[in-house]
Amino acid sequence: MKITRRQLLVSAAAGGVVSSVVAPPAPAQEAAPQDWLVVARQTIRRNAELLAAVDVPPGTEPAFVFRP
Amino acid sequence: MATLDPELYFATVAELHQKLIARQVSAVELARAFGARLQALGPTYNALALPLTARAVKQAKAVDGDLKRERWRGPLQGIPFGAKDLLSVKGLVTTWGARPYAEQVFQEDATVIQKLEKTGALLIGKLAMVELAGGGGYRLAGASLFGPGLNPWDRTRWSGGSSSGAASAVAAGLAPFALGSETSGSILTPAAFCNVTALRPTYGLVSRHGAMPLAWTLDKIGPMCRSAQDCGLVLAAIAGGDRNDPGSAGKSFYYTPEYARPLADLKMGYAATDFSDWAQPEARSAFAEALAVLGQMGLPPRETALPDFPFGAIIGAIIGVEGAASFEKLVSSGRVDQLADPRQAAGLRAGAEIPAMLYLKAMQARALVQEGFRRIFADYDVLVAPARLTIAPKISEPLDAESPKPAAKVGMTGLIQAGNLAGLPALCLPCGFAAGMPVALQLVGNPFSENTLLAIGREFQKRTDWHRRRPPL
Repeated sequence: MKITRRQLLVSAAAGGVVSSVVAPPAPAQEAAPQDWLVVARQTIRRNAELLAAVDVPPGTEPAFVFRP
Repeated sequence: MATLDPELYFATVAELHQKLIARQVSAVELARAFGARLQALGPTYNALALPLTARAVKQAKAVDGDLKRERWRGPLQGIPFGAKDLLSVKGLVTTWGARPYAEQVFQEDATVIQKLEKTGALLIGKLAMVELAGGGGYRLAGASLFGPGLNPWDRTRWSGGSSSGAASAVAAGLAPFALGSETSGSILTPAAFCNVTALRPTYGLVSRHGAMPLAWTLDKIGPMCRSAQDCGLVLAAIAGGDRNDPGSAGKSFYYTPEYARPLADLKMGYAATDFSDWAQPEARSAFAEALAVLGQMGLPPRETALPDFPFGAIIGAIIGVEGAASFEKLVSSGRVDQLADPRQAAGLRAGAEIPAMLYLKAMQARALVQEGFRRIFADYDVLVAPARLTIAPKISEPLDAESPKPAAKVGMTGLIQAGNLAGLPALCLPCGFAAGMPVALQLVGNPFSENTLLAIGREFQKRTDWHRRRPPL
């Protein structure tokens, strides 16, 4: 996977949601809100693809704790 | 503007404390002078959200009375500070940096504000931030109710986000210290860009009660200061269990550098490619010198690697879902479109569409990331990497603009995301300059190893003076 330094900059600076290292190309500055929604959904889709490739052993509990 | 010895604007908390104890300056003088300076210069950097000088001066009078009677409350007594505008202060506007919340008022102080004011620290102003701490994902430096955070070292460059005003204020000598917050990089990034020493505490060590919720399994509040020692002093005041914060670890923190393990007994890991291949070329000599200093301290870094996970995808899914839940009403009301960066609004809308299975998979992967770090910390006590690989970008550039630099090895370039996923503490240590702009290291340790990180930071800062450098004002 090719990553650019700029993608790494945005990855942590941007709070994480655009933080996939494979963020799709952004539309032009004056793009319509719908265009940005398309970009955001593409990011989620690519995140899902990357997560699908993570091998999680059966029985791995999600990293949050319920305290009664 | 109230006058003060100009040197004091850049003094550490520990130095100001000595001046107060010796009656060389009063708390009222500090509150007036720093408050006036923040009001006068804060807007120069788009750093000021709400000035609170009059309130601070009133409290300072009581502090001076206590000091006169030798009623000591600790090293923060009479010290002015600023707070990121996502921390509530009773009866005052708390904007979260976002237009839809421009008139929001809470009737309770955030726990960290309560704790600091109990020690006699003086809140002189609320500080600007990226809107909603960037929770929807932003791509513009101007994604803030207050405009783009301008870097005191070069006002054409970004101060970083999302704790933009906190970093600018400390760097420019407008406040001796400030409180910032981090979900994924929001303390370390602006601290590195502005030459500020800052600490991201272990998740759960500092209460978030009264802070804007973004991603409740990731949000942390931490100090942004002039030295590692100051970070320790402030952390000791704000840490501790809080029943009002479900994520609280219920642990206290005592700043005890005198009991730190000898540095020569510690093992430090790093990835050489971060420094030699990934770091901006102009910054590499500064990073090389910093690594040499660590070596002289008995901490020569040894090659290691992070566990192999798509950290960006994992943390993106988690912040996406938790952020969408936090701001559900904002989205459903349509007021989300008032945000300055349309990418944020889109990110919050899209976050609500993330399937539960994806979120759970991300949280499972997160458990594996934690396990990976446990294996690393069986062999190493601390990891070191560039806090940021580049200097602060120009505010005129979109943050996701293209720049070529593929590298074969990823190294620890994902350490900010990975460290946040695992809830690990991190210390940002200024370590030099590139093209006239600051660069910094990040030290990352085991959960609740803040004293170890601070001991390394303190020794590093005894041997270097990067953290004392001042921007041209």
